[in-house]
Amino acid sequence: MNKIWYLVIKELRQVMRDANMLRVIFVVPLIQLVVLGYAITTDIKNLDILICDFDGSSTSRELIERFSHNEYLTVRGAPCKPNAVEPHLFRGEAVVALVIPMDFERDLVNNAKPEIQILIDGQNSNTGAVALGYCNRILLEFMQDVLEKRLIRTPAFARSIQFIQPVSRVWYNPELKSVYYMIPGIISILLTIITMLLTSLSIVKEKEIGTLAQLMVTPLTSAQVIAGKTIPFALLGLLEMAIAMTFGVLWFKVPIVGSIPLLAMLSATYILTSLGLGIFISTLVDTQQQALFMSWFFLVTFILLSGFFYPIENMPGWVQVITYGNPLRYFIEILRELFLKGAGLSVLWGELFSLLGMGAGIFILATLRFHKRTA
Amino acid sequence: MPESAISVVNLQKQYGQTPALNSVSLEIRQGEMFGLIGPDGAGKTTLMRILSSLMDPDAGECRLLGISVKEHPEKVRRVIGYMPQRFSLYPDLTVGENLRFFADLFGVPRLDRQKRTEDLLGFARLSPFIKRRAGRLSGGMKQKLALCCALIHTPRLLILDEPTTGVDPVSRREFWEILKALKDQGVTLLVSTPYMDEAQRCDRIALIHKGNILAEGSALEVIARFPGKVVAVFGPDLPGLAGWFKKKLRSEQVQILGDRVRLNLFTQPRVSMDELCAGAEDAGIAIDAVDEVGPGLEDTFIALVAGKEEAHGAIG
Repeated sequence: MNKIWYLVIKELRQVMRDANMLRVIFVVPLIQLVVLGYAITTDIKNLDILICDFDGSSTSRELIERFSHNEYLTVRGAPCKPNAVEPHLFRGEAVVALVIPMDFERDLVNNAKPEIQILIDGQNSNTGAVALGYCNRILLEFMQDVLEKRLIRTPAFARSIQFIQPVSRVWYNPELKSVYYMIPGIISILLTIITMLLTSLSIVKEKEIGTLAQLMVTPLTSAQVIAGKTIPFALLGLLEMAIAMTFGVLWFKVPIVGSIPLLAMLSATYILTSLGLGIFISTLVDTQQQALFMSWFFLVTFILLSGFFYPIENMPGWVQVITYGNPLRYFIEILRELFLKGAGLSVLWGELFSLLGMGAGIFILATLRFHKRTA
Repeated sequence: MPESAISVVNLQKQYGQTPALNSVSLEIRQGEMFGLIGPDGAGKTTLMRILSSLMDPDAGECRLLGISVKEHPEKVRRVIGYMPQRFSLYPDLTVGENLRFFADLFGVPRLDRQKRTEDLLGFARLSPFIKRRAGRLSGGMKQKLALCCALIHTPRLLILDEPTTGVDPVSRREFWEILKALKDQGVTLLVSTPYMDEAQRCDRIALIHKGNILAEGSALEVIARFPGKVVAVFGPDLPGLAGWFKKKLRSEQVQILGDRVRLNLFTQPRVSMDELCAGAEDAGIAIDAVDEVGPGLEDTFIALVAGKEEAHGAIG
């Protein structure tokens, strides 16, 4: 036991002595948290919309009014000439363009199916889809109001019609703030970097400079060597997570509804998996550069298939099956459930056992490989 | 107490299709300084890594101080010190921290440690550098620190893999003096080196080539196995002389050395030495004198390698 302690002390001493390492561990994550916390948002604000009004009637002006009262859209006027819109879209001055045709008001009054053209710059399909959504919502509300006004003029008919009025309420993140959703994801990625990447780098570094062989001719067992190499990074990971969470709560005001001890326990389970992967990677490669590439490969795959950016429900069936082998998927799920919903073990036991199983599996595999490679 | 410090029987190791050790057997006595001599790629490092329990052999057995490496690697690790070819300490830790780290890992009692550390550092003349980071030491000092770390747990057997490769001549001599002092304290040493001159410092040596032990014994005993003779030829045009002899003999047999051309005649040339010299004179290359000189270890090594290859060729 004592010997593991000596290894841990040695490792921490080396980390503390390496200015670059300190920066990677403590400064970079905070910068990432701030930058990504602000940058990664699916709320789209200040979308430029170009409105070309050929009708110029009171109805069309009312419609334009509604667009300009929407906080997500910024209306820009456009000259009412045929084909006047396209160059603006082409130059990227607006993402959406709305063309109101000449007889818009008259067609509306005469029930002649008035048509409105919406042009979307689909280069960024995400923004495009969101913009289209905003436009549709405004137009729908507008139509509903027009309809209601007309019905009021014929009260007998109005009474016979019942509108379905959906009343929606958003729970757990009522303001639908994407930063609440993103911060837990970012924290999980930081933790993965510390535990998986740094562990594999630090083991491979000892391989490179030959000290690993030197450790193997001491009376240490390979299990002791592994413990000595992983415990420091597990501790650093937990410390880093605590810093990032404090920051998230104080700066971004992310609520933590769930229990902190439970969070610590579940994080430890995830760290087990991540450390196991770090050791596993270190047995596959011989240089730190290779370790970096390999860790990067795992990291990017994990992030893309974790539901962090793209909902897993949108993925093709076979990819969804693959995501069940992704530990980060479970951890992000755990963090979000815990942070925002305050979910307890009764909800999260599935994730817990998936992580435990995966962690134990990869740890045993990695330890066996480690033993064979170095002995 | 077992008679031999290291006992190796029929050790085999292959890397893929390439044999690294070919049925190697060795006996090294207690208290002996044993040299493993051979060029790069001869199998020296492989043998030492297997002995230090860092690598498993394909076949064969080795016992260190009577302990089987295969059955009790952890016991072997406690009684031996191993110093790998490459500097393998933590460059970002100081001299003192490196020593203390290995003392901790070997469980050196705290009481003994202070004295042991002081003794070792004083012995290696590293005491003034105890606070310096290992990465900032010179090549020779790094090797001495590595030796100190390998000695921290007072091993009875020391395995050193090319400890003086890449070290300047003065530090090399100093290093060998330290090894000699260790031997006088009763430590058994197994040292590998590609330098033939260093072999003279060992009690006994083994010449190793392509995984085969070619000869074993004291340096004199090994040299006594040299089959032919060595001749020094003097003349004004040494390159011309060397060129002439290279045409008549194998190129590895001819060497310009200072003021002479040295001929390693491990096999009788087809024509006699007198005829060779007469031929050179006829070709207009002057010869002043011809002397027979004593063979060295390198001559013996070349002869034994050639003999081995011929025997191999005859079979195949």
